[in-house]
Amino acid sequence: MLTAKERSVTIYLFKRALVQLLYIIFWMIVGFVLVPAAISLINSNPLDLKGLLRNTHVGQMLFFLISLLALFGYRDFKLLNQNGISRKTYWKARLLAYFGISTLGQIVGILFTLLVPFQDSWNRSSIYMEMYGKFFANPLLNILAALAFIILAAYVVALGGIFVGSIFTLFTRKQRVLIFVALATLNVVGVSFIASSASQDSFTGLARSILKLIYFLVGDASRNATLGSFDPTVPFIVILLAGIVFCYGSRIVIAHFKLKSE
Amino acid sequence: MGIEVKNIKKRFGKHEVLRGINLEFVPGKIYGLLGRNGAGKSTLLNIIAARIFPTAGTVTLDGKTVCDDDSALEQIYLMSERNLYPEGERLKKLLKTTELLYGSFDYTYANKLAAEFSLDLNQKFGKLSTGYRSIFKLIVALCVPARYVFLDEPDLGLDANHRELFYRELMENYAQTHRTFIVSTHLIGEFANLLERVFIIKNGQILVAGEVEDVLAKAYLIAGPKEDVCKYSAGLNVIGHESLGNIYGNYVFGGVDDERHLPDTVSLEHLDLQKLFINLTNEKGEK
Repeated sequence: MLTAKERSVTIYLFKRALVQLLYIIFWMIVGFVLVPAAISLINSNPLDLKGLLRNTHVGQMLFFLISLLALFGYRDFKLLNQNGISRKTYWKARLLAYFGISTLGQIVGILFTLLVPFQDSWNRSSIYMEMYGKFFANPLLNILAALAFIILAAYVVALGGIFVGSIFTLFTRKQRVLIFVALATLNVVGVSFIASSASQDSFTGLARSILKLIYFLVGDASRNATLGSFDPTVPFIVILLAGIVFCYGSRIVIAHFKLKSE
Repeated sequence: MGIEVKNIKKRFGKHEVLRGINLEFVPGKIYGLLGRNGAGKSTLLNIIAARIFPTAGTVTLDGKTVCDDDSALEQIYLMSERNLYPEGERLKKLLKTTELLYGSFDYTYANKLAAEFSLDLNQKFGKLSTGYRSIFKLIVALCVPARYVFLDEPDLGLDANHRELFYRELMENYAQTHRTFIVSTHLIGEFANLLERVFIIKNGQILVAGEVEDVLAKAYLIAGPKEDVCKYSAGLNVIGHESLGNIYGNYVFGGVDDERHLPDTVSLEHLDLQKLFINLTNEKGEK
């Protein structure tokens, strides 16, 4: 059960995230629809609205945008701290608010696919349905599992955003820049290392093991299932575990949040 | 009961800002937290309001640890010189957010104060001058339902007229609500008459704590010819001295025993809070 304070903070954070999301969407519409439409009017070239609608994957777009928004929480923390809100309540409310917003995002994505003409059918545009859509004999079960997976995945990715964003919040601006530089350098060194050792036997063995792990994670451990009939059990477990790690990880990190002097 | 600060220590790198602070804020008083720049006042207030963590020690409110407890934190409001309000938000919206998060807010009083201070609540926080930012935060501080209101340099950027208005409103609010106010300020002379209790902090330690009246009762200026003054002050806690022509003065803190004979050439008078503060917190060589 939520306390009145937790409810208030959740409502506040949910509204904030929603407004930010709508703001981004508004500018995306301006950038991807209105500006091309205006240009097409000037050029006398009709805008391919049908193509635009067909290629707009609202669910995936919101999936990405919401997890991006989840990265930034320090501004909210400052305001909530000023208003007598504890770190624990902030964490709890943020988790709940992002559950709401990511679920809403996926529902909107599905409705967009179902209601807007020229879109591929939901079954065909869903990655889940493509990989696991024939796992159960009952099609309704497959659809319900897909819905659960999409909502869960969107939420866990948003939780990942909260977790990673929280870690970065612990550092000063200068430290964050240094971390980015360090990560970029490690990335370059890592890629060079992989490239240089690609021909070695030990690496081939390692690559084979990684490939096996990936097959296991996507639900095709035996590597003989057909696309659409992969077993979704492991992906469900993996995503649940990731959710638990992000959830408790963010709690630990947010408990160390403090006001920065920058 | 009240806010209890126990053995708070805070270290920033190698620099120890607070060195075992112990103090208590009981309900229904106006406190002054006085100290020179860098004495650790703001750090202490930030720790009490759970904005930063102490290196050691605890802060409790009515026995509950303040950090991570909503029921304790909602009893505290810290108005600091740091701006935690988003620059792009309008003041009206910030008041609404404050109401949502604190559970209630005295809008009638806030509107009255905004009119008195000529503050337009339709403005964005980021567009306000330093003085008006302070005024906005003071309005919030006076209108939130918190029982303990900490004001860290509330006079920052305020002109004399606005300061006068603020002192009046603070006293009226105190008389009506009997909440606890803790004021950290450098304008000691202006605040002295409002304060009931005082903490003087120096180099991260509490130097003086008590009722303003009791503290001042122990603070004297002994003035007269240097030789007589020095003779009379022998064995007393002399915290400073000054001279003007032939007149020499010793500042004494800790009281003067009645058995001591006061020569006719020497005068004895009580210090005001500002004079006491200056002499207590002067570093060696400072006058």
